[in-house]
Amino acid sequence: MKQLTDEELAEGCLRGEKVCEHELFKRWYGKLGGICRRFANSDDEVKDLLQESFIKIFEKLEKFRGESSLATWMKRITINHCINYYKKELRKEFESQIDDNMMEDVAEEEYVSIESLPSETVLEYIRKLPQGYRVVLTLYAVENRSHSEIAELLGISIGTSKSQLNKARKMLKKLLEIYSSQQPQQKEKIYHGK
Amino acid sequence: MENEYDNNGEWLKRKLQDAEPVWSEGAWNDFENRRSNKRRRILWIYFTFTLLALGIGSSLLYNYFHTNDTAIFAIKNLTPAVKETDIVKNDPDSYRDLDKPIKNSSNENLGNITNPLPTTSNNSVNHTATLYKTPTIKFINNDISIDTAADYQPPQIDVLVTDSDIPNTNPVKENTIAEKENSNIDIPATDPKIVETPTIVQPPVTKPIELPKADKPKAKNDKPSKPYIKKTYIGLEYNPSQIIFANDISIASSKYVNASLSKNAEMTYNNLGGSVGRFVNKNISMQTGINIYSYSTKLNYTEQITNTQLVASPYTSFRMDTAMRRINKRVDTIYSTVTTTKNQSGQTQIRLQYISIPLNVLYQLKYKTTQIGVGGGIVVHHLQNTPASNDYSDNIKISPWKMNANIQFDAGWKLYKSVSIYTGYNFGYGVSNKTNYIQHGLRTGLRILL
Repeated sequence: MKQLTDEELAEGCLRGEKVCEHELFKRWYGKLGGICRRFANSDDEVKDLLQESFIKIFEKLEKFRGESSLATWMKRITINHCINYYKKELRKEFESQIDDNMMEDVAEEEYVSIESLPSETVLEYIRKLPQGYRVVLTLYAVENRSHSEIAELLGISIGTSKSQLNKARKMLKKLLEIYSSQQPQQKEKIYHGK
Repeated sequence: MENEYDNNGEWLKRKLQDAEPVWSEGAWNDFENRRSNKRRRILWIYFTFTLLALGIGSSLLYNYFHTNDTAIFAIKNLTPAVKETDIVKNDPDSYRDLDKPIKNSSNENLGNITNPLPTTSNNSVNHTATLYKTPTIKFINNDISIDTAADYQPPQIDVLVTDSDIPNTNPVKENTIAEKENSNIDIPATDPKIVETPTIVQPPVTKPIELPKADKPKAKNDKPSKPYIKKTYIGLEYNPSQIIFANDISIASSKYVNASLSKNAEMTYNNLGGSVGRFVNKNISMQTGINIYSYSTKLNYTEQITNTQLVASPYTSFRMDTAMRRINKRVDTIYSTVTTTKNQSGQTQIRLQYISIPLNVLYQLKYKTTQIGVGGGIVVHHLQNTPASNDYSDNIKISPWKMNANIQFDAGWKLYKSVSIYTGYNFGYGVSNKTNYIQHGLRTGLRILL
């Protein structure tokens, strides 16, 4: 049986066909969930963000004008929703300068290769970053947004975006290095909890 | 090694793209539960909002009519010429003896309570009555759109009551003679020989023009989808309404509101309309059809001047719409109507009745087939008459501007595939340079997409 495209599924959704909604939800659950995971502080928040994003997507589907692909459009809605969700928190964070000592507290350890690190671990450490760092890092490094786009999205200056990214990188690097140096104890500690 | 961290986050992207939540059927069920809960909450909010709005509207209306109940009773039932104070002053028993003649402070006979004499006037009274048309829901596939009353121009009816329409005799004198001969004889309220039915010029009959549907999703980014709204439809609508006209309703002088209102007119009308329309493109629709109106007009809340007419009016119309998010903006809307009517002498008249350019904003809240809209706008219109030799040419007046606001509730249901029905209620208040009016009415319609 021929697999329907996203756009065909979207048309089905507009006709009120539950099957199409289910299929679209299933198809994009992972991808959009991944985006939410990068923004969220916990799994509960991921669930909230993802469900609310899908509600918005289905509600706004009739306004989709096809100026971009449906995938891009859905991702954009999800990212915007995540940013709006944390906007208050982010504003506070950007206004108050994050203490640089936070990074100095991270002990200097020997570099290790990160290629071997599991994705879940990387995500775990991404979540340990301050919200502002995490959002800018995710938007820039994963969602391929430019600093000017990030600045516009978050209502900050381009300079702030750059500095947040720089700090985020440094901090993440050190966090991951510490983790790598503590293997296997730390690794077990993390995965036993899952 | 450091590049692994700093290479524009490529490594991070790689890592995080793998970190996706795992699909399970439970996720869909959770989502469905959340969505239905949210919808329920939203519906409650809409429902509460509608109730609140209706409550405020009805209490305002109540205040209009009930600020001075005694005065209204006297004015409505005794005609404006007979004042409560006159009755009490001259004959307090007149409340008990309804057939007893009443005199006012000038010792003029005013008839009795059950049959008051008609009011006389040496001046022409020009009642301009503006018909305020109710909004209409349109169905396009599964969706509804609401045409507010502000979207199209209501027809205008001007009623000119001249000296020739009302007898120029002095009924007080006649009654005085009658009283001398037999004080127990009831004096007729009106003399059918000399009180003629006022001339009522039927207005152009309007029909709402199709609201183009908002864009549907395109199949591909580079491949524009087919115009989704290119549809032909037929519609049938029944629309009974009541309008209360007042030349001098004043919110500020509430003490006199009721009295002022009672001096003016009320109209009930039933409209049965049939139409055929087609979307030319996604923003323009054309429609043609016929409306059959039956009007019944009363002035002064008495039966003195009542007129009922049946009018069939063909029309053609088109409209352009733009929509942005939930707010529908309607600009550059041009509406014209050509109407043929028969006057009282049996002559057929052809008139270009008016052209109007409304500027409207409509806020719509929609849930599946139910939709609530709150709309308002300013309508600039020009009423033009091309009279044949007829009796009406003097009666048609030009109302250069008109503004109205309304609150409405509409609901529609899809019966079978392309067949849908809808019903709604509208309450509105309108102002123009001629008259103010309150209008409310129900509406029921059937629509079939071809």
